[in-house]
Parts: sequence; structure tokens; C-alpha cells
Amino acid sequence: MLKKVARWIDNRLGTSAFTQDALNKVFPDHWSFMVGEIALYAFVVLIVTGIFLSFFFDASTSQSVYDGSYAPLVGVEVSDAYKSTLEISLDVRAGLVMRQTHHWAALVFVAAIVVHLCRIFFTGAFRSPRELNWIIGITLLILAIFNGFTGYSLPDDLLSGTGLRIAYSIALSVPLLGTWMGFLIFGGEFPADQIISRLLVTHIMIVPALIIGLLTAHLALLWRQKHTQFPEPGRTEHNVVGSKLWPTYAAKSLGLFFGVFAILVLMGGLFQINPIWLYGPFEPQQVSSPAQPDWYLGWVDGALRLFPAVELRAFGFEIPNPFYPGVLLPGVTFLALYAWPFLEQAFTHDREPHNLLDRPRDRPMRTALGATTLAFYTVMFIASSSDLIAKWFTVSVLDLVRVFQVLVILIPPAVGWATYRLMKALAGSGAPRLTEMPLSALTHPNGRGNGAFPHQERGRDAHAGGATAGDDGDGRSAARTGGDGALPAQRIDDRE
Amino acid sequence: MTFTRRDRDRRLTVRLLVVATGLVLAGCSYRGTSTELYQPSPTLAVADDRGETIYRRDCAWCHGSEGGGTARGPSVIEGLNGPASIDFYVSTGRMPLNDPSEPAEPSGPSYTPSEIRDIVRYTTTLGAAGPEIPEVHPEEGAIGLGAELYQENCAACHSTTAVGGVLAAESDALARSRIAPGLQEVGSRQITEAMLIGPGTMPVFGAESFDEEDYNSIVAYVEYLQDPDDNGGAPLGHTGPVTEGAVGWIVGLGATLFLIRWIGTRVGEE
Repeated sequence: MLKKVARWIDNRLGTSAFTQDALNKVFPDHWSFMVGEIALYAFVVLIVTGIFLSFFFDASTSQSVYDGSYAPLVGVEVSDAYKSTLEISLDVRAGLVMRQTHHWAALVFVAAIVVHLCRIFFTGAFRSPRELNWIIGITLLILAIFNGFTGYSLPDDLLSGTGLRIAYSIALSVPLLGTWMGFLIFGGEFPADQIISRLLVTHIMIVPALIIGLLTAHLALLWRQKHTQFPEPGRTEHNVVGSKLWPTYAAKSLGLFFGVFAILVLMGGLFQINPIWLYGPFEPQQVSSPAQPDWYLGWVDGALRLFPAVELRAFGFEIPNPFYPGVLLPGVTFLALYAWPFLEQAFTHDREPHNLLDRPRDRPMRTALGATTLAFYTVMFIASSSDLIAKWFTVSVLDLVRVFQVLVILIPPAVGWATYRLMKALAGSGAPRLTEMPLSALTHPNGRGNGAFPHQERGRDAHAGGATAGDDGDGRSAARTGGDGALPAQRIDDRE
Repeated sequence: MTFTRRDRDRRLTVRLLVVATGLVLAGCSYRGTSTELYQPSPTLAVADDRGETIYRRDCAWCHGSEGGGTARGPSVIEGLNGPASIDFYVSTGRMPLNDPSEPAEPSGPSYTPSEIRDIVRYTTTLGAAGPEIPEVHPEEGAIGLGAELYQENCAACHSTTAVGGVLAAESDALARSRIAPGLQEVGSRQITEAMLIGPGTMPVFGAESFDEEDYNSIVAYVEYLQDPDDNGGAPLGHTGPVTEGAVGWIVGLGATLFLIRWIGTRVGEE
């Protein structure tokens, strides 16, 4: 019966050749290649739980007196947005686990994107011919952060209202355009009536549609250009060694999907997140404390806290202080990320296509720069919890901010220098992994061939001349790669 | 059993890791406060009145034998200071101090409730004029009203979930003006007394701010926040996105990364 249906479809669409090709597609095996998939599956969880939530959420700021099941707020005037979020959390069957799973999935979604970005960066996977996919990926990161913030702002509780007020102030800080932009986005002066409904349309329609479109392009380009792989015996610039999509990789990926789904739903059931019933409804004259954004905007919050009180005037216009940490810093951050593949090409003059990945030690300067950048944003990220740190350690929060202002300048270069030394030592030692590097390599970074790992040369050129094999349909073609035949039971595919 | 140089290096790495972990943990345990017990002087004369005995023995050194204050401590009978104030400071363990330069931080009270009553009664004979110890009936308050008043007047410093917060104070300020303490352990009487007298940097929320129903309602809401409806699993300290972010990264992404490492291979692995 199934065969009949398949034949019927094939006769009309000619899909079987494509399907055959697709099922035989080879993906290289490495655990770190699945980080992006975590983000993908977290996004699926976001859509599934988000659809559920959209059935019950009411994006209106019209006020009414609450008389629902949550006793401590009975008699308090709340917005419909807040009231419906309370109902989702406390009255709708499975509403709270859906809401919490949605929120945890958002945190893990952006975290996985950042780790995926780091993997791509530190292994040089962004190099030619994959600059386009890098650009799409950075855009996806921006969209993910943006959609996270719009979602955080929807429930109209005191915490999210505090966040929106900060966002409004950042918009106002743009020279010349700020006031217009603030009014345009919010539909009037803060807190404008329309902001929640606008946020909802952005959060559940515009940005998700953009993400789905770009995600499709991201995967299509990956499919078209084929995946990169780590240099290993039998792996060359001209082949792909790994598992076939069907059945091996599909099984792994499906397993990962169920695993990610299970982890996120478990978190939604076991860990409370954003208990808006305790935060209370948003009132413009009130402010919540402690007030932090979700983690992926922590670096902006930290920058706002650390940036010194400087106000400059240019051409008779004042440039308000939040402009530098709130607009300029994120702008420069994402511009630099977009430009990175081209900057590196300009510095190294290496414009050749690369299908074999670097190991971080192969490019100590890039690795050190990446570590410096990560350290810079991590210090700002930690500084966004300065009030909590000050409370936990009973120190003056103003002192703490001054300490962080110094650390944000000192720590990144120190981390960069240490990383550079470490990568040099690691490359010199020839150790296959960082954990196996002898400590003596740190003091004698050029002691290549010091005897510890005489047979571990894994240079990119070591096997570059290896023969490649095309499809032969039996999945055992690795034996034809030449003398070392290192990867039996592996599947090899030609690159075009 | 023989060790190669590589083994030794590895063991050294492990040891360094252990030491580093220990240092980090030691850093985390630092709290910056000492918990030495108050030691009254044994040489003081005993008066007939127990309140007077305790006052002279433990309080008069700084606050003066007539309660009017000295260079070491303020008057306990002027302004808003009086029964409510003395009951608040003594019953929350902020007083007495071993040394007037110490921060007045909440801890266990040094006296029994009846001793505290005696101290308060004795200080009223010195002429203390401030507010009386209030009678609080949170069960008569309206918790919704309390929620509104709490969010409006208290939450900005003591936090929306009553876990406390910091105040933007310089390091040379008194330690008690650096934080707004958490309210998880505070009794209903002390909550009201704090509003009446405004200890430390806290403003006074007296009769011109609140009426009796307001006080009862606020106390009812704070008592609710001390043991709230914690739907949705482990409350993660009620501190919001900071702890949530840590759990998201460590538990959430940590578990998924563990999963792909388990499913996937590494270089050189089949």
C-alpha cells in the first residue's frame, strides 16, 4: 500500500531520485556539529509551546479589576495581558508547564546559538565559501535575541515593564531620531497603550517568519555546500566522510530532537521561571528589584551599568549617555561579527575555499582574539548582576561597579594573551587534546616533538592528497581512501 | 606501577584543578561579617528592676544612663525613638552591638521576649516619646491592597519577592545603609515597627502615609511573600533572570551538550 502511494507520487512529481539522493547524503560525525541542531530543536519546542500559549494570551493593556483564582491580587487593577498570563499560569490546564517550557526553551535556544557561533568561529568554518551562511547565522542570532526580548515583555508584569522602560530610554537616546523612534515603536509616550499588541504581532508573526525563512536558507546552504569536517586520515578538502542521512544520521538527529524536547519540558516542570504572579502587574510609577533582562541581553544591561557618566555635545545636540552602551556597543558588536570573515580574509590574504576545519590551536591569533572578545562580553554580562553580587557579598554596589569598570578593560587582554600562549604551547606539544598536553609545554612552547606524542601529527596537509571515492552504494567505500584506511564503516561522499 | 612523565603532568593538572576549585569555593563562602557573641561586662551593679539592670549593663555605655545618647550612640528617647524603635532593634537582634562601629544587622535576639518587654518598659520611664509597639492583625488586612501598597512603596528596595536588595551607597557608608534586607524571616510586629520608625536609610511610613488597614494589609502581603504559592517547581531563590540564566546555561544547555557528546563522536573516535 505504502509502495503504491510512493509510486503514485513519484510518477507525478519524480521525487524518488531526489529522495534517494537526500537519504544517501553524508554528514560528517563530530559531536560539536550538533550544537546548531540543539538550537533548531529548541526553536521547534518554542513554536509548539508558543502556539499553545497564543490560544490563551490576550495582548491588551485595557485595565480591569482582577477577580480570578489568585487570591493575593483579587481587587487589584491589572491589564488584560497580565490577567491572561496569570490565567495561563494558574488556571489553564498545563498552562504553566507550557509557559515555563517556552521560556526555558528561549534561554537554551539563544545559548545554543551562541555556542554554535563559537564552534563556527574557533574552527574557521565561516571561511570561504561559507561567508553567506555566517551572515545568515549572525542575523538569526540577532532575531533570536530580539524575539526573546519581545516575549519577555509581553506578560505586562512589573519586571517586563521595567525592561520595556529601559528599552524605551535606549530608543530615546539615539541622537536626532530618538524621540521619533520611541514614539514610532511604542505608539506614543511610554507606557503607550499599543505596545503590547505590537509586541505580540512582532513576537509571534514577523520575527518567527523571518527566523523560519532564514533557518531554511541556512540549512539549504549547508546542504548545498556540504558540511565541513575536521582533518583526519581519509578526510580531505574534496570529500565528506561520515554517516548517511538515512538511517544513521536521521536516527541520531531524531534522538537529539526527543532528547532536547524532554530536557526542556522537564525544566518547564521542575524549575520555576518568571513567576509573574509574585512580580505583580506593571504600573508606570513602580519599578521592580532586582531587575535584570534574560541572560542574552545581560551584556547590554552590564554595559549600561558600567559605562561612565559621560555626556557629549556635538553640533549643538546632546548625545545622551545610554546611546554608547545601549546603541553603539550592540551596533559595533554585530557589525564586527558580520564583517569578521572578510576582515580575516583581508588580514591573512587567504581567500581559498576551505572544507577542512581548523583546530583552534592552528590559528592561535584568531583563537586569542575570539577569547578576548568572549571575555569582554562575559565581564559585562556578570556586571549586569552587580546588585545581587553586592548583596550576596555585602559590599558597596558602587565600589563593585568601579571594580568591574577596571576588570572589563584588564581581563579581556589577559585572557587573550593566556589563550595565545596556551594555543602555541598546545600546537608545539603535538598533544591530541588540551587535557593531554604536558604542563612542561607551557614553559617550552616550541618544544615540538618533545617526545610525548611522536605519532600524533594531524596537520592539514598530512592526508590532503588522499584519494576520494564517490557513491558506490554499499557504505563501505572508506576502504578505498588509500593505505591508512582509518575509517571503516564510514561513508564517503564527493564534493562537487 | 610506573608513572610516565605524561601521567605526572596529568596528575599535576588534576591537582591544580582541585586547588582552583577550592579557592573558588572559599571565595564563595566569604561573607565579611563576624558572629562573635555579645559579652556583657560582669562588674555592673544590679538594680531591682530587670529592665533597668539590662539597660545599664548593655545599653547605657553608648546610649547614656538617661537614654539621651553619647558620642558612641544616639539618643533612644528623642524623635521617633521609643517603644516601637527599641523593640524593633532589640527583638531583631540589631542591638546590642559588641562595638559601636559594627554594623547593626539582623540576627537572633539576645534577650527573651519578657526581658525585651522589661527593657522597653524601663526606657519609657526615661521619657521615650516615639510610637508605641503596634498591634498588628494581618488577618484583618486585604491582601490585594497589601500587594498594591507593597509594590508601590517597598518593592523598589526590598525587591518584588521580598528577598531584599542593595542601595547605591558608598563603601564608607554604614553597612546597614548598603542593603535593604530580605523580609523572609521578619515577624509581623517588626515589619510594622520598621514602617513606623524608618530604621537606617528606610523612610518613615507613619500615620500620614498609611492607616491601620494599610498596615495590616501590607503585613499580610509580606507574610504571604514569606511562603508564597510556588507553582512551577524549584523557586530558584526568587531572584529572577540571574539565577534563571544560570540554570538555563548549566542545566539546560549543559544537559543538551552532554546529550550530543553522548550521541556524537570526537576526532579519532568511531
